[in-house]
Amino acid sequence: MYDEFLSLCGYSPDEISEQKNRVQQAFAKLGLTEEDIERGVDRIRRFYAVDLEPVRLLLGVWVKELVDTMMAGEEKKKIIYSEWPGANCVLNMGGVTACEDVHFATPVSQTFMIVLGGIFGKLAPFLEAGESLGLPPARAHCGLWQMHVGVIASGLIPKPDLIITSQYICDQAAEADQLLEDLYGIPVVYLDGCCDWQYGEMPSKRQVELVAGRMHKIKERIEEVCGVPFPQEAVMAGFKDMAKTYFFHKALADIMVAADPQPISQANLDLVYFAQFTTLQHRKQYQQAAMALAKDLKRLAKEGKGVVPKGSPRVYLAFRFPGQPDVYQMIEELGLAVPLALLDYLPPEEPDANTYNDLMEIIAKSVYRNAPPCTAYSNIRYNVNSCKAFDLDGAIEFYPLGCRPYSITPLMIRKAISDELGIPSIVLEWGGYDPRDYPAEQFRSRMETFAETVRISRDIKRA
Amino acid sequence: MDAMNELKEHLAGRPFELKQAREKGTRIIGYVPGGFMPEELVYAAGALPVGLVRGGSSKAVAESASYLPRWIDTFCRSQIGHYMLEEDSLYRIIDLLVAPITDVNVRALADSFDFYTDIKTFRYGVPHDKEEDVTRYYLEGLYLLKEKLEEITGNKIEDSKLKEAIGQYNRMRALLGAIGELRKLEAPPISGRDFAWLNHASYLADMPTLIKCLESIYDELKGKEGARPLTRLLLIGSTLAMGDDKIFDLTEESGAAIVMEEFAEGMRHYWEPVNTNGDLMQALSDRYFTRRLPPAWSRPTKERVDFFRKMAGEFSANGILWYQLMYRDGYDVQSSYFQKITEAEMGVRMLKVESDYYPVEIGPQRTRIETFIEMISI
Repeated sequence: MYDEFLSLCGYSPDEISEQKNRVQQAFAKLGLTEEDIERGVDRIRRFYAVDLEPVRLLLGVWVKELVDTMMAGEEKKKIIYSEWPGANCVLNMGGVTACEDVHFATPVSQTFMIVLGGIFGKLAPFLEAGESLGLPPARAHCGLWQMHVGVIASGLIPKPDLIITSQYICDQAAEADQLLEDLYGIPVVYLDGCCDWQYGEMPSKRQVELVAGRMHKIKERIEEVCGVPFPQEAVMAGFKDMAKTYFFHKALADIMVAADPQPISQANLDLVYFAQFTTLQHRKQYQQAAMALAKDLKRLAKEGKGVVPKGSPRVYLAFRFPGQPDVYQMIEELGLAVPLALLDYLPPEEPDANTYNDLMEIIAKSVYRNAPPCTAYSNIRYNVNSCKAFDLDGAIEFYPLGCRPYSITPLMIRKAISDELGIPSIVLEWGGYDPRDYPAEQFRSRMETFAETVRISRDIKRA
Repeated sequence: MDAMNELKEHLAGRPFELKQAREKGTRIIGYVPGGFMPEELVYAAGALPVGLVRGGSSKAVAESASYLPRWIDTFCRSQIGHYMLEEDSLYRIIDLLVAPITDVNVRALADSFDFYTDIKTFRYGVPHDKEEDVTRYYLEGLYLLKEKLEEITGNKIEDSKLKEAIGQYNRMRALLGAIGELRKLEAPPISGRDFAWLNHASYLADMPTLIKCLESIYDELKGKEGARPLTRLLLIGSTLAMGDDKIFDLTEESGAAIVMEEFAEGMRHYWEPVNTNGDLMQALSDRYFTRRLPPAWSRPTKERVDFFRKMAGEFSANGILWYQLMYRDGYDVQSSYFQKITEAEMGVRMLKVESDYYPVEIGPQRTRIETFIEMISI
């Protein structure tokens, strides 16, 4: 079963014989059983387009990332973790270039979600670990931070020498890491900031400078912990990696938006999208696979092949579901095309009178620009403009209930979409990083009604 | 207490007074009562500050559901409910809402006003630790606030006026501190409920009237004794709003006394005065940020632990009642390990109680509080 699993994840026969033991060791640490591997094989076949080689290779990138993290305690001298959101992820990416003996990882926010959630459908034990160690259930805590606290505090993943956390877009990140610091003595460095610019405005120089100043300090702290210099060039390399990854994803999103029918499920695009926030060790494999996937998508579009009928209504999806690929499948089964999802669209740059020369300031500004949850205003505009830019027929406004920043705006967005564009939208709360109470089927009946509404609305508009 | 009644009468007429003042051209500045907004600046600009301190209303919470999802902190969410219900005219007469952005929940409060109402907000950030860079950032925020107040009122904030306002607020804080400290006595002459009400009144009342009343209240209480409580509790948490009294009902009915309160929002931080030597803006920043006890979502935790250890000793408290509103995750996360710290390091037991302002909560809360009080009274 392991061979089949690894083969579906793009491992070559040589890689399988070389890596199988290591993968088994890593999976054993996570409590993954033969039964889980069997389920993983089944889910991969159901939710991902594994008839395309690039998709298999992308799955493999994520599996390798998880295995590397699980084995880092034995294989690396130091370990540094960081999760999104925030510019801290860029520093982590730069660290991969700067310090070879250090394992930089974004363990939970993407890797766990894609491998343990998307592939294995097994997040519950990790969520429960967090619930018992400080972030209790039924309080709408973010599943990401529950798992982060749970797996680190319980020693399920190797204990880090440093955690880089942030507190400006979301509060729970720093609060959870403060718990790890206060209670378990794990060193934490905080990227503090304030999303305090006025409603309707963009961040000013002072907000950017505050975050950038902290990034300089964090860079020094990384040098202290790693015992090697963390040169500016490495930070730049991390930033370029992030930008490059974004544009890989953007290239795929552009093909998806132009194609009719939608060539593949959005579940496959998650494998590319989430790489932009992750300190991937196997970046080369990722880049080659993403480029090859673009070619495959173009071919499928040209051949008129797709996962929904040609001419299906097209809707914007306000979130991504790395741990629940079945949600995409359910929406697509109802005949709704999802050409565009969260952050696929890059709006024209807002005019900014400020110029930034310092690299950290450039990074800080870039992260602010690309983060709709920084303010309600930017999130509302982002959603409205995404629908408008591609003349979409409706919007599915999923929001994760454990995410405070995203919980501010769904009702505002719905009103703005209705007032400004006159297209239907639906607001659906969902578990985000915690799929336990929100399986795809829970949404089916509401989604069926919504799909019908979108069809009627589009027909009326066309008539 | 005669002075307490006088203050109640004053508050009853306060909305009308404020409405009249506004009609005559005085600007009314609403603000989030989280202790990071120096009202001295508002007074010095010739405007009148009004804290949006209402809470405890399930009706406002239900109303807010049309505007914000329920996963935002109860107090912050209910503010747009109070506005929409039109039951409190204070929410309708403000010219500007000042929102020191402490966390995402306060951001939600401000966003809901910006999006759904004609009231515009003014935001400035409150960073989450006390390092030099963020201290400077907070001070810059105060300068921006000063500029905004000058713009909206058309009045320049002169140092002389600011010093006078600081003097008044220092006096108010000192009086609240002195009245609060009377509860160090074995038989406190004032209840936690009345003391909290004085705090709430201070967000709305005319300052000279408030000071006069507080002076009289202090004189009336000095030397008096109240009932000897079964046990003495520190009450700490996220928000203690005006109208959210059930925690007092439940503790008092069980024979306990709340002898000291500390909240991120809704209660004054009266322990520290503003020093008036030197630069006044710097002094405001020093008092409102640097020397202000950090809320649970800020750092360092140690400052909070040390403070509560000191307070538990000074007020002879036998227990801590941690009262937080739903979905204020900073408090929820810290509560999980604060309990361990208080029990291990302070030898004081803690009970956590949560509220979403719904009346049905009272039954289970009563059982838990009664049991806790019985346990620590043995």
